[in-house]
Amino acid sequence: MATYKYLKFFQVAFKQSMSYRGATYGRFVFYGVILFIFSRLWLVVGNKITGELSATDMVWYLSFTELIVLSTPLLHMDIEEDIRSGNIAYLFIRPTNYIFKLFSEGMGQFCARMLVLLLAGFLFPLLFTGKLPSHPLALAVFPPLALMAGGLYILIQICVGLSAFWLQDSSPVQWVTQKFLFILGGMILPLSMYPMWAQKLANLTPFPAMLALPATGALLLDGSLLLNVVGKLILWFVLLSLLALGIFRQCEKNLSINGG
Amino acid sequence: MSNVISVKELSKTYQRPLKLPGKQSYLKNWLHPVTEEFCAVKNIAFEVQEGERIAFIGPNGAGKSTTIKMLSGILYPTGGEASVLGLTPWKDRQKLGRSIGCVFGQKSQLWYHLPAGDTFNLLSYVYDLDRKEYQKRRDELVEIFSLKDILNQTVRKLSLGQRMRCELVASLLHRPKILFLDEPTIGLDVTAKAIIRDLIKERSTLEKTTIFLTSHDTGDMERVCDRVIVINHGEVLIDGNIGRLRKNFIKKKVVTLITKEEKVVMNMPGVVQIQWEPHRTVYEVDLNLQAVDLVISESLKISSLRDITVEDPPMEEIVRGIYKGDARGDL
Repeated sequence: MATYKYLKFFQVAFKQSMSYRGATYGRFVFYGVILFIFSRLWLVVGNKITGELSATDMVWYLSFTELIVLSTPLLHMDIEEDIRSGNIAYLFIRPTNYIFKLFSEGMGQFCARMLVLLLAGFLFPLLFTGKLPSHPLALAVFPPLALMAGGLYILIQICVGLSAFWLQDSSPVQWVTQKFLFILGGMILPLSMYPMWAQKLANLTPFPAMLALPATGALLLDGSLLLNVVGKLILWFVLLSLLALGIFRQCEKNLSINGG
Repeated sequence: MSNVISVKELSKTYQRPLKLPGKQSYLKNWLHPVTEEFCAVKNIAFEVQEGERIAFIGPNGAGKSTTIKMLSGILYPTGGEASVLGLTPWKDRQKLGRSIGCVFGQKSQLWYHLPAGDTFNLLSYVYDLDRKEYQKRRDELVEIFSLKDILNQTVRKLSLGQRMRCELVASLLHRPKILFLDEPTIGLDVTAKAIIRDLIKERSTLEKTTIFLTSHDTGDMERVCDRVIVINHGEVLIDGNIGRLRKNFIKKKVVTLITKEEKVVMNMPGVVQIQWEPHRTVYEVDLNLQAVDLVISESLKISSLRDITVEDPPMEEIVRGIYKGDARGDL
């Protein structure tokens, strides 16, 4: 079955990611430090300026957004390496779609990382605030939303990585994209705390769907909001998939292999 | 036998950056890069029949790798036509991918952090192989390529020779009809080269796999292939049988005399002494100026011969002569 091969790519990436224990411990510690610092900040600020979310929920919010960011693999580096080394040649001649393969591998790595970090993501906020989110059910609702958001972030990573076909080095594109994600995606603050013009601007981009929307959707646990979040996640997924496939078609035509 | 590869007027042109000299030009280069057109492959044409073993040789930058990449569908040509197994490679790349195998000596298709066995398994899914058929094929190839002991070792821990054997198995798992080999023995030691060459030839003979090989090592060409296509500056210079290449392009012979006398001096036009040690003299005979039989008769006259050998110059020298002289034609 044609789709089975992509499941295999997912499995191999999952297995490989699970074997990098050192990197996992590193992320675990980093996650804890960030959450500790911000939990102190939000608990001091209290409920005065934290808008629709309580101070405790703000810590949970950051935990959720960080979980997505830390679980997403830096796929653009893999693509860049494939291009630089010329190994892209092998990937082109196989009866597989390169974008589907990358996406499957990206999701495999994402799931492996998320599985481990979920523990930290639920444990640290509980430890630092002593409370569950206002709607404890958020803990069950968030993981599937995070999975979909991770899919979007992986698609963005693929688009960034494909820029190396023209630029050879995709890191400047990655740097800019990441800053957009952190700011327009609402990594630290929910978008409702932004000025109206910034909210409008952010909502024109896919970045809120990757971080702010799944986190607020789960924490506020409002039926119509959740429906809206899922709708936006699907919409951006379709648009970004088409973008990645479109860019790849151009890459195929412009391909020149490094190293003879 | 039917044609499996057919190439007509195939060309590939690249735009390459032209660096203007001088420090002041740095900004100019950066703001407004100037490019020049570089023709890597110029209107080449040839046909390959099923089961043939072709050496596609040429000096660096001759257009060998570009051709192999167009024939395997990786690169789009800028002109001309090519048909591989009835398909246009760059249009039907994924379909063609099921019937061809590739080994690029300087690149790897194995997952670096996984054991080679895991890559084989993954590739069996990539090529949608029947599970039983795959296991049978893998066991057979593992046995032939002596991979049993290294199958579960991570690829990054393998030696280059071991890795290359794994690369070959990876490219043969799906029983390709054509195997494209781009410098498959690069960097290998003499023993590993010999093993790889024998294995390629044996597989090709047994399974009627067409071999399309590029290499700088004339040993690969001599031991594996029957036919040679010489390319230089993007153009086909020579196309023909390897035996005939030797015959047609050997312009010199090497004559070694072992004599009773410590030193022998031969004064004949076209005969040059290239080596000497007591009782052993080596001459190079230019066949355009002198016949070898006359050299032998002369050596009998001037010395008491204990032994005599007449050899062709090494293939490498023949090929170097072709590159230099840009000889052309069919053999």
